[in-house]
Amino acid sequence: MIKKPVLKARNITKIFGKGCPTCLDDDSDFEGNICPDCKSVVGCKNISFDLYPNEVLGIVGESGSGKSTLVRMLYLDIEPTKGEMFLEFDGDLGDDGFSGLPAQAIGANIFSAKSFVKRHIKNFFFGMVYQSAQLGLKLDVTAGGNIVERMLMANNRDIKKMRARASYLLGKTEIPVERMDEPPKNFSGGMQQRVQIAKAISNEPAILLLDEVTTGLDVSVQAKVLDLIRTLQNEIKVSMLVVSHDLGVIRLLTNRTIVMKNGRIIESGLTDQILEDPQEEYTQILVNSAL
Amino acid sequence: MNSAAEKIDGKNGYNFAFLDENAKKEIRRRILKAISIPGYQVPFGSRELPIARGWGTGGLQITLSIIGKSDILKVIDQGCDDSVNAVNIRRFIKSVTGVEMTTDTERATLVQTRHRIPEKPLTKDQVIIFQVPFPEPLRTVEPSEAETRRMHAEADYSRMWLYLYEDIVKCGEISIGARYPVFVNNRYIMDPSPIPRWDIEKLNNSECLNLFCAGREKRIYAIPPRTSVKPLEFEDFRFRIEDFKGNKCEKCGSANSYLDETIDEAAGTRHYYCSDADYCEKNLNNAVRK
Repeated sequence: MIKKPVLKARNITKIFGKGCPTCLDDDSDFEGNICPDCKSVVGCKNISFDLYPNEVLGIVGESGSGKSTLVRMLYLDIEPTKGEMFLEFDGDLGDDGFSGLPAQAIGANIFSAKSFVKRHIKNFFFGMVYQSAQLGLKLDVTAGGNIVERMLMANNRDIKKMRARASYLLGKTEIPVERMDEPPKNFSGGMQQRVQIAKAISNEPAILLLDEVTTGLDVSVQAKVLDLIRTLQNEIKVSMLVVSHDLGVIRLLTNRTIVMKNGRIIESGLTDQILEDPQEEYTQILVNSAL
Repeated sequence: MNSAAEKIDGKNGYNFAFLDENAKKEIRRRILKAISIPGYQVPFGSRELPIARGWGTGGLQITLSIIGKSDILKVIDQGCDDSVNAVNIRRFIKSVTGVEMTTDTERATLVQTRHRIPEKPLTKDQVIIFQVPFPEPLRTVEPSEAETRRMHAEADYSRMWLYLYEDIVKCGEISIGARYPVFVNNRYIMDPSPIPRWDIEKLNNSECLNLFCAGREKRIYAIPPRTSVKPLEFEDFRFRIEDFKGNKCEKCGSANSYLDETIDEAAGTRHYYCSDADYCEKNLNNAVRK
């Protein structure tokens, strides 16, 4: 049976600047990501893709290609200039009385929903791991508190249960549970990143967005973090979007991959295919320089 | 409560109830909006008054805007009718309106209060007006006004809950005493003004109209009659009120009223008295009659 996608992205475009007919036009094509007419920066241009249940989708591209902009739009951190996003979940997604999408969000473009609805969706269905722990964590609040905050967002109100889950997740992410009530500013970078992952998955999101999770970590910690993500994927059956410029990460984690350049999708397909037999010139350069 | 006929009939050369009619009208409109959206803070143009901001100008402006000639007013400060703040406000309102003043909770149609709710439950014919120093309950976790407004709009209250969680982790209990944040109508988190925890449950499904006003911060909000008001609490860390450990009021012997603790430094002893002066006095009178 072919599953329905949980997330459909359609023609997502983000222009930083005024924008003009040239850069807003769907068919326009120009070199680079600066509009020749109005000099606006094109962050993302006509990005469309589907994310299926339990799938891990990779987004790869050089820095400045619009990967993080895209993820931040999907996470509703920033608003796209135009474009649509649809969500669909069937069945129960967790054991704490999950009741599905709010009525206003069913079959509707999430980007044009009211901020109240957006907040609800963000809190209940998405998890996000940022590149830097400063963005994803409150470094002055205890590690346990950071994880609990995520569960509080999803309306959990039982401290014992939440602390039990937080310590379970800290165990999973190999952070000593004794340090649960210590603020993450006392932690190393790798530990902070793992607290962030524990936080993002604490309310069992349907979609987990990972933005350059391993960048800046040393190789052994990288391996641990990647291992963790893979284990989690098997355990909690979450759909993931993995953004990275590291092809090793993409190869290890993802089933399908999108290659971005200058804010546009230039190639997409099965990860193996893209890595073994890249079609576009840019992808060929990328694959050759990495391997 | 005000009618057109009363307009010109001021006292001591001032318009009735000191404020000009346009100011009263604006404040009444704001009150109507506040009643329509329970717990939502409505901005208003706070007027200059002959007392300084921070000394009850919020409550005073509401009282002056809704008071009419047939009203009977009670003003309390921490439950007491005779403290300086209450006496000054009462004298001022008397001098600009001439309405009847009382200390009797049951007789009053309007009660202006600082930091207490009378022990005797108010009825549907009464309005209680709270003086509010800090209307924004989220200010403890977020300094920016723009940001707290966004948080209210989206009901994005996780940081408030996180604050309470951290409190429990550090202190073993929520350490907020007065000004305990409440959920109004299952929508907005609201600052109930610095009333003790003891008084929080009186706000829930109350028969009377509750009006709150901060003069310095220029905000009006309200809890209409029979509206749900719940203190923020966790399933395994329930909200609890002050515990007087079996102590009773030394004047009237009441064991179920909020008590003030005073320490006699010379003798080194503690004494407990009802905080609500009118309640205490009525208890005493009843006892004498028996």
